[in-house]
Amino acid sequence: MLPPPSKKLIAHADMNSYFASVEQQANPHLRGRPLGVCAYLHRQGCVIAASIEAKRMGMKVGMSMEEAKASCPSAVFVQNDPPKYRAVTSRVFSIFHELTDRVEHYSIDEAFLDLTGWYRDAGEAAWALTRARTRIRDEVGEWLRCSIGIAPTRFLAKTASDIEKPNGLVIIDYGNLDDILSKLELEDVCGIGPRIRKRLERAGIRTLLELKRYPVANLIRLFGVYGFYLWCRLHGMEFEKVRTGEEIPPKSIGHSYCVPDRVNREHRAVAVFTRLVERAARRMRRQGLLAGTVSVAVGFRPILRGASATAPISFTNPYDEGASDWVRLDEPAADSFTLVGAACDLLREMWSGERVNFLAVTLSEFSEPTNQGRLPSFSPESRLREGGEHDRKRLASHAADLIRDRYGDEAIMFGSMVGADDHAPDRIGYRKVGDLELTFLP
Amino acid sequence: MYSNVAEPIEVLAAFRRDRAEPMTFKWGNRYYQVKKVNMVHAERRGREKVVIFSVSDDANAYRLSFSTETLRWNLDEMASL
Repeated sequence: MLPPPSKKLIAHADMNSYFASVEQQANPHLRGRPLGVCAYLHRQGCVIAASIEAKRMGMKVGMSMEEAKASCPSAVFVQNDPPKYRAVTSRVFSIFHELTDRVEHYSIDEAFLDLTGWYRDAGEAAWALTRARTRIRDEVGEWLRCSIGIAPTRFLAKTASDIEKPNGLVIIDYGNLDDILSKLELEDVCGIGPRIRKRLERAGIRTLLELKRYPVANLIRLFGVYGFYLWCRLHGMEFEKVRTGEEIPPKSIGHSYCVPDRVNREHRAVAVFTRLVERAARRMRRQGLLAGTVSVAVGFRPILRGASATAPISFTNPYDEGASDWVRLDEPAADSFTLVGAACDLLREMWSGERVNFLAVTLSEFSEPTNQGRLPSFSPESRLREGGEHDRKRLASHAADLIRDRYGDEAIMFGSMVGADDHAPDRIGYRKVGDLELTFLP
Repeated sequence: MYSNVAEPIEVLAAFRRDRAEPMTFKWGNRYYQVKKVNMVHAERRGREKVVIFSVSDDANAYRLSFSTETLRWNLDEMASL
């Protein structure tokens, strides 16, 4: 049975060229100029955000700094500053939280708001969101711009917010849905990339309207359940509700780092890797979870005959020459000793000291602590060995966390982390806002 | 573009009804008048809360930080064109 068309009022707010706009807000001399925000200020460093002016001149997110400079020679580049973006996001989202009780922090610069019941219709919601946007400008920063989409479903709201950038406001309802879909390309909507588009085109579907009118049974035959979801989304049928923070448990927590060659020369790969594991473990413990699985990936620097050790390395696919593996723990664990031990054992199995260019660790298969006591073993020796050690590790990790909460993340560390220095600094991902704390003006 | 400074500074600040903001700061032997406070955000370093003021004058932008633990001001960074 098909779900009925949604009667909800969903809004999607998307901050435009977010990281670059925040940098331009902080430094007015950068406003109106092409600006690229990079992960690292290195010619191979990746552009993670481009200002609206830079985008107009051809700079794209994902380009290396070298490529971005070639496409936009007058551009200025700055290194990203995650605490700044998190602080601005938390203040922007706190304004959204005044509009409704259901706000989903979809990413660092996007949020879904379920406005059903709070406003009579889309027009009234648009008025409230316009006021919120004015508040963002007045209270957070006048250079921050936000595109808003209002529709009966999350999918259509996101589609609407993408239509008019920057600072647009588009309402999609069942009256104008076909009209709007007819103006969009297949890849303009979330969930259709180049591969799906090719498969759709092979089936004779070239526009979103054709996709909407395509028999659902045929779509299911072509794409399975995904085809059904796609069809429902285009018909304004909702099967995903706006989820607040508590309802979105993380599926995995991990960190990765593109390793500069200096780390290899100074033999600090293990120190950097341990820092990545420890950071992931600490984030997981903050959410009160236990990890069941530890995954590790390592990318090796290609050996270039006749090339210098500092020759540029392609970061397009760090797994080109690399390995990855995972291990399921005997028992879900949260303490750093178990997790760092398991991750380092995995790394040693795949790596024997070659030069690396990429390190990553992911913790997954989370469970919550049952708080059940451990049955004592029968023999006193094994009782001491198992139960005692388990508790010691857990308590030591907890104590280390308390010290870090008080004195900072680097206040206490594993001996093997010594030498990691400024490598693997704090970084920000577009989907890593599950643990974002809402703060108001200091 | 940005250069790290990380030096202590002296600051004259205004405590307004709803906010506090630096007005003038002395770095080295020079006084700098803040023309605009562009952004204020806070960072946590352990339990210590540091309030960061992104300010500018006609020529440069500065990042000033105020530690709520030690009550000291620092000039963290300076950006010039």
